[in-house]
Amino acid sequence: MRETDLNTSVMGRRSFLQASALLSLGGIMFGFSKAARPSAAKSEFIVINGWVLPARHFRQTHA
Amino acid sequence: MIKDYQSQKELRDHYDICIIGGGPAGITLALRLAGNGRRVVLVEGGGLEYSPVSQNLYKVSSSGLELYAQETRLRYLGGTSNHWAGRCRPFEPSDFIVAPPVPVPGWPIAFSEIERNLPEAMDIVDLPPHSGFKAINASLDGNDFYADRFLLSPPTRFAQKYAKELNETEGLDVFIHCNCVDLEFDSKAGRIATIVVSDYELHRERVTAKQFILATGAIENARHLLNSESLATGGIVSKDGFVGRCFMEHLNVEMGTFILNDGQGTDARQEYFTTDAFVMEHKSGKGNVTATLVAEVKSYGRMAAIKSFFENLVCEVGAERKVEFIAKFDCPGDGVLGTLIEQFPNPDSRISLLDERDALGMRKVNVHWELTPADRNTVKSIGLEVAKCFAETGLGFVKLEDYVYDVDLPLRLNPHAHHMGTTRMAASPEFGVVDENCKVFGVENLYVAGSSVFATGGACNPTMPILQIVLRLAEHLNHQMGRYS
Repeated sequence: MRETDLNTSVMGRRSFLQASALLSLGGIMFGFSKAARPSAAKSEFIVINGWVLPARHFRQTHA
Repeated sequence: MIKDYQSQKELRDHYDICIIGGGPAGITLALRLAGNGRRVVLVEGGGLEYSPVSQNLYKVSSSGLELYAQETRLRYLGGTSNHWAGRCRPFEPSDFIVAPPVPVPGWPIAFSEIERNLPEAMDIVDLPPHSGFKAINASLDGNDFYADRFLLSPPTRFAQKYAKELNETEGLDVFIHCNCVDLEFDSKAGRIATIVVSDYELHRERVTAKQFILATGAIENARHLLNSESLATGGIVSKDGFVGRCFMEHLNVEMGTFILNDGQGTDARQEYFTTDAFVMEHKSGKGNVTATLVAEVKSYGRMAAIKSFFENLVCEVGAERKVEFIAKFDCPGDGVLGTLIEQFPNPDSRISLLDERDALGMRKVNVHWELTPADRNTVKSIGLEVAKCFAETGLGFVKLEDYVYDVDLPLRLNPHAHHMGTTRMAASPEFGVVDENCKVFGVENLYVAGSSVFATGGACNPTMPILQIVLRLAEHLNHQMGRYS
């Protein structure tokens, strides 16, 4: 599993949006249910103000 | 017989074994060795109860992280078992197989060397026989954390439990208020000839024995060795040697808070432990993570703020607005994450001698407890991965303290009062103080008992493993003395 630190207490909005854009272009695997997800798959996470959250909730496609 | 050295100066001319320190290690050794026909003296500096006069002799200075060395130890018969909480968790085979990712080696003995003494150690701390160590919750899905398994001792208070045996075991003399203030090394013989003991009136006397065992805890064991001028002159203890070095604790890090998907439906306390696969993948130490619900949630149910967190996270409001919401979200959460995390041996984390002396004339010590980048990596890895597991398994979400994942920030932590490593066991004096039988390198008849001999500390509570190693030492000494006496 990998994580991207988006600690907004030390990071501006522009940096966050850049990071989100990178995440959306990453071609990572997401959206599978846990049972269906291949065991080798590693979810992406971001850290926002200390909260460790799945990156899939913050992709630009959701905007 | 327990005698008060303050008023009863009735030491015999000679003993087979002299044990210094009346805590769990010293008491267990005394009973095992005297029970096997040895003439044993156990000298304990404190009395039968807590006394400030005795406790003040534990004062140290600290130049590193604060470990509350005076408050967490107890200097009277029974030692620190007098306020032990009782949690028992054994070492694992991997503790003895996997070398720490630092420039000093791990244990020089096999796990099986202490495993065989586990049933007897469990009996000493009043754990039910033949019972496995139990989990109180299910494992987290995945390969990183399993449910921690442990047992709780009543807890055993050694002085009370063994008072009758300490008084009645033939061949055993127990002296309270009898403070060891020097170890006298005969460099020609390569042996400790005598120790010097003192009462609180500074009356001093020598104790003679064939074998001597230091069992005074990790700080004091190192202090006794460092304090002995004859050991220094004899080249046994040197400034650059390992005596006092590699002081380790278990890290009690406030990881952060969490919110749960099912709130009150979750048990009030859950405990997880790193798998060997996790440790290998992250090159980290081991660790226990305890998730504890805060009382308010148990009493009044979930806060509306937490509910809105989940709703905002999955709704289609756009990433930017979600981030704004999360950045402002300062709810204390459903519970807190605590830890008991392994620290790797580090020669710069150490006990060192000061010029200042205590009321009995012994030099005081400074404790410099520090962490390395490898320890910060352990904290960060465990924090991030347990947070990801919470999210991936649908358990909830974790908010980590910033010092957990940003290793440039000062770590906020507390000690667990598990002092280890200052007379570490090694295959050679190049990397340690005692050999595989807990004997001090270069001294024929001086042994060390207790967690100061731990080469690595894993993430298990040390009292029961101390007893396993102490029982092994008792076997060794009984065998040695049986052969040569």
